[in-house]
Amino acid sequence: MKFSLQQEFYKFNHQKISFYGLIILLILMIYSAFSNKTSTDTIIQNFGAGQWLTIIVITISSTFLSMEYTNNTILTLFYKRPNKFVIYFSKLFVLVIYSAISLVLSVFVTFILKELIVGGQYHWSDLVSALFLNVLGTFIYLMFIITLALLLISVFKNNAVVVGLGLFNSFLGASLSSAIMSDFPGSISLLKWNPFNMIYIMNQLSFPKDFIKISYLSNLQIIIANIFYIVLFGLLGYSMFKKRRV
Amino acid sequence: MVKVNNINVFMGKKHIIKNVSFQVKPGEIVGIIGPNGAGKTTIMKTILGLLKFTGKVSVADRNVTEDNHRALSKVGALIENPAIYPFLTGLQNLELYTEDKNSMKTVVKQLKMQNYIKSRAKNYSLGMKQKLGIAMALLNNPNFVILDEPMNGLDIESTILVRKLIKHYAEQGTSFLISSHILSELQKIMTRIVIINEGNLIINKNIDDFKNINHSRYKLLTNNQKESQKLLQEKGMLESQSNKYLLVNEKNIFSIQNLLYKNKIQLLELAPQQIDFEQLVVRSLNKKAEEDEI
Repeated sequence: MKFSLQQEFYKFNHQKISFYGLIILLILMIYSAFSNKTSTDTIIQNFGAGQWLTIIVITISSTFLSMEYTNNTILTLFYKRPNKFVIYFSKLFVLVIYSAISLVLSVFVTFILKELIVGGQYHWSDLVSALFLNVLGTFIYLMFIITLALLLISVFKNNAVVVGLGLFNSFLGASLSSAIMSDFPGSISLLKWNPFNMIYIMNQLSFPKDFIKISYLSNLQIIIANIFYIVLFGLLGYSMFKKRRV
Repeated sequence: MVKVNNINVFMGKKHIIKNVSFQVKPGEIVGIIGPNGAGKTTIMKTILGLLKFTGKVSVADRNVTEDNHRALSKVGALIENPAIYPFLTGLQNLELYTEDKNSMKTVVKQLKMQNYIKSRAKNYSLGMKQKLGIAMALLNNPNFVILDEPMNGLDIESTILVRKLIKHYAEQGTSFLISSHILSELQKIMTRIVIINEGNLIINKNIDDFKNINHSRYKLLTNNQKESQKLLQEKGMLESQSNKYLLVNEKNIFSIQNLLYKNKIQLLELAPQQIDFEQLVVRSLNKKAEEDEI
């Protein structure tokens, strides 16, 4: 396992896409900061870092697994490793660490941007706890996105399809979920558990009053539901990965 | 070293590999030959535990299954295309799997890759990639190496180099299972031949025994070929015809001479049929096809 993790980190570090991901995150955060009026809400939301990271992470996760098939390296990985679980888990672990590092970087950039744009207008003491909850919610949702991306690439075997579905989920998933629940109000108790609804965890933990009305889930419920989907996608993804012929 | 015992592979309902068994002993170079789609790569993948199969595969007396590859710790392979990360240099690709840096340096030197090993693999030519793939298979002093079409994309100089290297490793005790469409190259190195067709094992012989099949046929020319053909057919001693010659089995040549003498037919030529290795392989494949039709 240790050797496999080292190997995956080595590849990830040398693959430029991981570095480009961080640069794109930085550019998009700066764009968000200067194109919108800065308020406590935008600072707590890390200048939109969560939204951008879901797109970046789904692209990187999908590419990180699909490149093994594209380069035929999956054959070497399979026969050199004792079993397939070691490979899948190592990739998952690397992507989770990357998400954590990206989030830490986004918080650091938020600190700088806030000081540059509004200076001492808002006090950190009023923002830090909400900012931390936003980061926590985003981290949980990024794990949801990583397991989903690995599942989708194992099913569709096509990077473009996975990235397309990821973009659909990020931009339209929440609206779709709300639309479904509005159209079938009698079934909200069931529909509120749908996977598109999980994206609200990113903001709900920081702004529970506003978002509980939209997601129809309490903070605890949305955390448990996200963890349930992470485990489900993880198990399904591994099962598909294991079955896939090489 | 490697034992393949009665393996069967199915892809959906299609029976791809049918009851195939053979062994690869230490230091042996086994050439696996067959037409496209015969099942050569499938057998190689099965030995590497990459496919679901029935039967038994063991390497150094340890079983290989689809879920357990621990027996493959000292096995190297090049299957289909070289497994290379284009964003890494050749050296970094090797470093990913190396357990012994000295072994890595040796392989790089043996394959004469020093000039470009520190460049990114995405800029490599087909031949350079192929050599890197072979180098990866030879890393960490393996006991057993599988090479699927190793000469693909190699120039003459590299082909000779790889051939010599395979022989060198085999002399040190490494076993090889090699497939190649370039039979002349395989012929120069292999010590055992395994012929596969439509998932069936047709021939599994020591290379010298296989070449001796060549001498079991004699070509015959008489002063009355028509009458000779009739006589031999009647006695069931005619195998086939080739141009102006009648082809007969070595074991019947004395009986045939007596038969011709009794019928006052004079012998003009009776000599071992000389056929090359490729023809021998094709003949083996055709013979099996004819038997199946019967």
